[in-house]
Amino acid sequence: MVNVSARQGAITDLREEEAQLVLRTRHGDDGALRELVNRHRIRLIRTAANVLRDAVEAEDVAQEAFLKAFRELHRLRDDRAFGSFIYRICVRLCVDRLRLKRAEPTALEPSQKTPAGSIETRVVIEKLLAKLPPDLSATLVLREVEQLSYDEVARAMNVPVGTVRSRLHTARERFRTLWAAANEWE
Amino acid sequence: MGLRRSCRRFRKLRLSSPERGLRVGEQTFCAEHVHDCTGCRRYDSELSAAREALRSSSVNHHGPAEFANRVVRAISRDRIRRQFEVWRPTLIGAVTAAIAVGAVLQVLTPDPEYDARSPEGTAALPAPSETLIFDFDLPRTPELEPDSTDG
Repeated sequence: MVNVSARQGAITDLREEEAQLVLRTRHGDDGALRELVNRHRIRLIRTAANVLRDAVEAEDVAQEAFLKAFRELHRLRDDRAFGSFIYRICVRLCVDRLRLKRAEPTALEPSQKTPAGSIETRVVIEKLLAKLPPDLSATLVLREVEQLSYDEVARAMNVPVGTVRSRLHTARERFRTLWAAANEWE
Repeated sequence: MGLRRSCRRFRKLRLSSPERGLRVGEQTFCAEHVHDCTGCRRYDSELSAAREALRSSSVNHHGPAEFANRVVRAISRDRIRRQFEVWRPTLIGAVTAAIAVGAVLQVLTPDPEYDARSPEGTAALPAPSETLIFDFDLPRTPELEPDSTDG
């Protein structure tokens, strides 16, 4: 109980600190801006790389998300919610990119934690994900790979929780079918 | 060929189980069904394998170290560009007005060089020559002579 309240207190402190950074950024403080970018860049690039399956495009999208977020900072009502605000922008940009372009996957830096031989699996996964509609693909990745909760996926994609549940159900079923077909070919 | 009702129920439960978990009765049903149904056993293993493969394909790409600098530079450029866009109509108006004023002043102000040559403003013009000089040869026309054979 003590741990939970201590953790919540720490989270609140972080959010307050972030609100201060956002406030300073609003007044043109480049140091605060840099600090905000450093805080959120890893999460944004990783999510974009997982959704888009393209490292270079992921960086582009993350940069675009930062630009858009700071351009539309006046729309942010609660400065403490900057994290979810920019994450939502990034996910939306990723889905837009998926809609526009179903590109062939490019080489990605191998994950240190994944077992040997996972490169081939990853290539297959990228091809299978590219066959899903963008909304389904993004929902599946956010839930399964990024391990977001239903509520978090719903907020990130700006849709109701029921829609997330329905999309996830469909996406899993389609992905299983594609996966089974790919393994039959091999 | 349609699925049996129990197969449909099993698959529906299996697809939603990662989030909401299954009640004891549902767990028992799934365990019994997967034991009896070959098709659903294969379905179950495919679903698990696909999910596992998807999770293991996670990308740990964090971008280069200079990413933050790049973003800050891009944001600064964007700020300047947007400020310029805000002031652009004003700037265009000011430049146009300046050009117009300059043109008007140019027309209204007398030319000092012109005045120095001729205070009256007429004497400086070159005097018209009294004689016209042609410096080219006109072709000669052959003279008509009386024809001596006439007569």
